[in-house]
Amino acid sequence: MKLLINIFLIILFYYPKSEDTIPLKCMVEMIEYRGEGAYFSISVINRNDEYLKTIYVLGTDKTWFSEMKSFWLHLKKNNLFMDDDFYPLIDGISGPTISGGEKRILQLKIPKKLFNESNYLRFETAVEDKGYHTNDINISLNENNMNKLHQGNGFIKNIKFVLPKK
Amino acid sequence: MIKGIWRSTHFLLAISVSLFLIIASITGTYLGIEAIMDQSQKESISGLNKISLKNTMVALQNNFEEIYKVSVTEKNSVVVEGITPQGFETVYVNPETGKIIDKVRPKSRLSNFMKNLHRSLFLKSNGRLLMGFISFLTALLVVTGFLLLLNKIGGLAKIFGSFKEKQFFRKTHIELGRWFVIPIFIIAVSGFYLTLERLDLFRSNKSIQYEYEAGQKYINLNEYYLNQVQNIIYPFSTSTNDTYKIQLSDRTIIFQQGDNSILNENIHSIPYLLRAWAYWIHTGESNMLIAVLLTISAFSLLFFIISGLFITSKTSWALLKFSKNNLNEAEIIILYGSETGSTYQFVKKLLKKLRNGGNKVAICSLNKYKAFPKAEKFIIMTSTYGEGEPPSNANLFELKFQKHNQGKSIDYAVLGFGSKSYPKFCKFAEVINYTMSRENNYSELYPLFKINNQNMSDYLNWEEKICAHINSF
Repeated sequence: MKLLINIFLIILFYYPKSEDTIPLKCMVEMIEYRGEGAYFSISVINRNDEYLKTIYVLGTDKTWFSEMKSFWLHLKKNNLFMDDDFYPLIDGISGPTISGGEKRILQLKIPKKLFNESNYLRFETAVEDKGYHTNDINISLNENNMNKLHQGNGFIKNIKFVLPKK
Repeated sequence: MIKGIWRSTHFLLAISVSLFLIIASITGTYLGIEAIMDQSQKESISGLNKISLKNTMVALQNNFEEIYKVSVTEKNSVVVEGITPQGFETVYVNPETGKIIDKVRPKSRLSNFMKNLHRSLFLKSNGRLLMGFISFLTALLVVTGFLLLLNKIGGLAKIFGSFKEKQFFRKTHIELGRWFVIPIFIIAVSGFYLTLERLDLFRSNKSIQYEYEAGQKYINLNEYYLNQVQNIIYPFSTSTNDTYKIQLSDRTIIFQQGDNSILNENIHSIPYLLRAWAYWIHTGESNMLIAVLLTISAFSLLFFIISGLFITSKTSWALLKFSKNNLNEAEIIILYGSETGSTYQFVKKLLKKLRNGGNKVAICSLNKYKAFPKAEKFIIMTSTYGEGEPPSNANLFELKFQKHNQGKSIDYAVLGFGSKSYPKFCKFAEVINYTMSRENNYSELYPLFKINNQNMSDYLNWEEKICAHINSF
């Protein structure tokens, strides 16, 4: 009975509380490389390299997640596999991975409260066990950056954003 | 003889791949059923070859605020990623009207689980390599099986004729064999190719690139139909620098928005096309008939394994028992000297005969002579080489015989092989017989016997006598 009341309370107070997010259209273009498709994860981190929120994960075979080493530590430390909010972030629809030379447009949702100068948007990429880039893209979250083209350091050639029209 | 080799090969291949094949077969059946189900869903569109790309793009423009990407999936449905009044969505659409049919839901965890198990057993790259290797072995398994099948029913012409076989499992195995030999072979080979391709062995085959100036060449979207299209990535913004990228089955085209002038055309290499074909036939995702055939074939593998297991004979399993030749336990030791291997064939024959008679037998070449703790009887089978010399695996025997004393009584029998056309017919056998007869503890089990030109009836005669002597003790 106590349990039921608890569940009821949780539903009552937590369920409607949907986070305020900023939708962000993002185009990722990969460099021309041969071999397997890349896995990547996009997270908001702070100045101290701490993960605040993971907002997007690409890749359907979870056995490869461990190749995104920094993200994997975060994932294990915070036990994200047990977190139901984590699964919707894994993109199982637009295709399992993204291959060399491919282009893809993603729709990202960044929590409004995290969208400020002191936080960073990090793209971590890995191509199975052939390569890993912790900071393929690492840019400060400000409006100016959202209007520029950014070159990647690893498997990403460049990324572009479009902020929603106000 | 050849038939025996095929049979052993077939058996050994089957044993080594069966465990993996069970996994591949169960997951394959699941994925096959999934492919059939997906193709019978409402979002699966028939007649994609009659709908032009232009028609679809115009229809979609009217139904979406913004489009990111349109894909035509392997399962014949058209998927749009884009902005609808509800926000960003990934949906199935009707390509003629541009209307939304349904939301795309991510694959179930079970489905991903099955797919990954099927591809790599969750062992990452090594698992993928392993599954590729298993596919290769399976292809060989099918070939050896097919040869045995031909042998059984008497030639290619009679492949669907009747055959005599009463035993249920044998009958099933043969019957399944003739129906599924081709589909399973194709599954194995295409699976193997998909692995090879992933290992990137075809690096040298580059695609052909063409670059154009704006205005030089235009794309006519009316000329392309959806069955040729894999996906279209829409321009990121309205800026003229942003382009459309169309992925067709044989090429990729990048063209400007606005005037549709082609900037880049990339024609895929042959390995890319082969891969696409292998994927098409291995998954059956875009053809119902293939999907059904694949599912049944995958399922039939289970029956192959079960019926195969029941028809294996004791001799097949004996192939796995390498340690059966235990010289320390054997009571009868067959010592042989063979130059070309023909004597060895007789050695194996006698070994089998004695073993089936329940004796503890082991074989040993004359050069490896040593003290045999449980030996009671020696049977020496040897040929003679050139001018009465021992064969090359027997030239040390005299020396070793002096060195190792058995320290107990031994019954011996010598069988010589040779040809009467040589003056020193079976000379070496005579030498051994003489050596043993001088030993105190040695007594003759059966007198020296000589076989001319591998005469089989003489041999069988001797074999019968020797067996009678051994069993009378």
